[in-house]
Amino acid sequence: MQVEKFYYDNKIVKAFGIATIIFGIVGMLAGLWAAIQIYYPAISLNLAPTTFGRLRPLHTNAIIFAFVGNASFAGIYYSLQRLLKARMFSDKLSWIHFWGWQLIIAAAAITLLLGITTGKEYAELEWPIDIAITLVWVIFGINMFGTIIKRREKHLYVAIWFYIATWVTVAMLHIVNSIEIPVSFLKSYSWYAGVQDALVQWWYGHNAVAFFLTTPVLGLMYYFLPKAANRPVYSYRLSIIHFWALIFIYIWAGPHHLLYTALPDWAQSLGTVFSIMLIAPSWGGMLNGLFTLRGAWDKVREDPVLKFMVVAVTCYGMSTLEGPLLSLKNENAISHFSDWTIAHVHIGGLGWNGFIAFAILYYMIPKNVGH
Amino acid sequence: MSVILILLIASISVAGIFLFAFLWGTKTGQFEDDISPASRILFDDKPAQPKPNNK
Amino acid sequence: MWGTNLYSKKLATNHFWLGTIGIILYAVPLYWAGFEQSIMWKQFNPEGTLKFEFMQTVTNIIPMYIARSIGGALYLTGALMMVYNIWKTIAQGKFIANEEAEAAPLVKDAHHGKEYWHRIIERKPVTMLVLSLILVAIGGLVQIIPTFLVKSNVPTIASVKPYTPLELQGRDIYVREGCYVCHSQMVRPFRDEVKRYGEYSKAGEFVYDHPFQWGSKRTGPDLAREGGVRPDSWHFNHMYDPRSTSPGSIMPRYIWLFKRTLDISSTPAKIRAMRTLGVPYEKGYDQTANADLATQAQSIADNLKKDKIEIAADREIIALIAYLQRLGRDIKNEPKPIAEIK
Repeated sequence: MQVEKFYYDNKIVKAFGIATIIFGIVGMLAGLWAAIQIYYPAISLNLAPTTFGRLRPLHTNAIIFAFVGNASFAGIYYSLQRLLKARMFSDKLSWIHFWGWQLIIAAAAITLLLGITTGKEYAELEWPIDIAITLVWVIFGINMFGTIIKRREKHLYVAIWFYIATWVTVAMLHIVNSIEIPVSFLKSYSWYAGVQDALVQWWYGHNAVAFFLTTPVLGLMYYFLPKAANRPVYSYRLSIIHFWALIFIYIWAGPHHLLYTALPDWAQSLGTVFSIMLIAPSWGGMLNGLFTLRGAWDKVREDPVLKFMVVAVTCYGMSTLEGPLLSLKNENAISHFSDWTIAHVHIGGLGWNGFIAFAILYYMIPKNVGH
Repeated sequence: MSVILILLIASISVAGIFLFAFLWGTKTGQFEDDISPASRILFDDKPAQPKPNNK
Repeated sequence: MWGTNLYSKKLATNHFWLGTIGIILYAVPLYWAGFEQSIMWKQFNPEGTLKFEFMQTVTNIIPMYIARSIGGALYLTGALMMVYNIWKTIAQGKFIANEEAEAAPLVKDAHHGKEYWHRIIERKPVTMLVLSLILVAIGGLVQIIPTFLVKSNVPTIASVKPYTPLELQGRDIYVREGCYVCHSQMVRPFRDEVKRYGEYSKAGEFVYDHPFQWGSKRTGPDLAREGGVRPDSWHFNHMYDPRSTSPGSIMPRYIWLFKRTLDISSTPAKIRAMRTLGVPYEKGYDQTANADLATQAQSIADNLKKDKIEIAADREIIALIAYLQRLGRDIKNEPKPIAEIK
């Protein structure tokens, strides 16, 4: 059979990588500033845009969508091409995706600081930006599925399944939760009211964690961890099984954010049950990651990339065990509304997402050819 | 709680999409081989001539 | 991608350790803070009164907040080290924009026979079992849910009425300033919460809340029953300088609310949007809403004047006070006009 010659597009990966670094620093600075305001309010400078109430949404949005988002895109564009043995479907779409996403981030930063917000956590962006997100997401989807169609490798590696699940679910979550009625160009009201709005919001909020901060990053782990350790994943079969289990269970766990609230009891219990079930697939992924390094711990001592990976996967395991525990009603009675939740999400954010992002940057950027 | 209906339709349709994907994957033999794909990703597809690529 | 080695492995390792210590220093104090504060909220004296004021539970965990920001700063420092390291790596390498690769093209599989996939599944009992389970689970849910939908799960409460135009504008300021980031509006059915804040929240109280503002964190106290608890002048002073009314408060000052005039040109559009969403304002109310708004604003300004506070009735703070004073009042037995509560 004739072997074809082609080229991987590294430029787009570079662009997303640089964006990751810039927005990572910005997002962390915003977080630090907000954290200091909690015990020293005067550092808000008594200015409207820099008070905690506006800085905190900026911090969360910057970390989730700009830092982890760009890191995921960088890792996806890098690994997808190599896993499918094909250049991205369309360079043009890649760049529309890149610049579209960065414009959305810039618009988000400006509007959030100006207090233009829908008032729904992690979905604060107003309706014109919501529409832009949808369009850019579709572009990303066309580009990804186009690449999958023109691939030169029949088998879809498990990481790609994670990327696909991410795309499909985020699209749906974003659209359903962002249904709102515009009042003016920069003001809208959520279509849903009260309890219903709360349920939709946390169905979205929880799944944003699942499908924006977990599945794409698990995909990255399944590509970059074996690559960095230069050994196959511990159990490929386990990776397939825990993937399907994870995506089927995750969707139903949202109501655990609303325990003891005015949400109907049956919905609360449903959320708790599915949350507990999540331990199994989550730990399947964590153990699979850690066991991959079995017999390679000498490499971990040498290689900072693997060091970051090990702590990242450990933090993933910790927060996915803690998450189900926090969704038990008697536990939640104590933890909810307190800083416990903030600590929990930062194990996931700093440890899991942040460290995976650092690891793949340290891995991808040098990448000594033929080493 | 009529919104539950929306969420369910949305969630179930996504589950349906995943189910379809799963069936497609099974049908086209995506999950037949659960050993070699894990090793295969470790090889880069560098052209063989200019630089020998041996890990 | 730059065909080189990392500029400094040592620096990356230092980043790793700084980051890891940062995470620990961030998370441990915050777990402690969360647990301790939550337990303090729940403590009672033998005579049945709450043991701690909300403020005491806040000042108590300030040291933990300081430690957490140090952890965050370490993590950030590590990230900055990475920036330098990557910068140097990029400088020493040469960017490979298009990386060469070789692979055989994909040959389309011949066997797309119709019965093919089913036979595979049949040969794999485990797959078959999993598949059936998934189907059953989905099917089951589809059946169960309509039964729940038959009876409405949100009982409406007769005394719950839509917000007045001024309160609606005030609510939008509440959303704009991100008050929900630190204040919840959801009293859970616990002894301590009912004691501290009042009657626990009912689903029917929120039917006009677009969006809901339950919040997820109590950096400050819950506000679900804030309406009518304190005089207007208290809110006025508190928003101007929280520490003047609540010593030790960590809330920022909101001085701009006292300077900015409320944009009432948006009122008709907001009322119309709410009507579209099913909020029962009368038809044509969008045209007269601003008159009601002005009347209510004037009454709050007059009320403040009694406490020797001079402020124009068209300021944003007036709308915010109107909203705060409305919170959770609808289901209280006898809704008194704000002026009577002193």
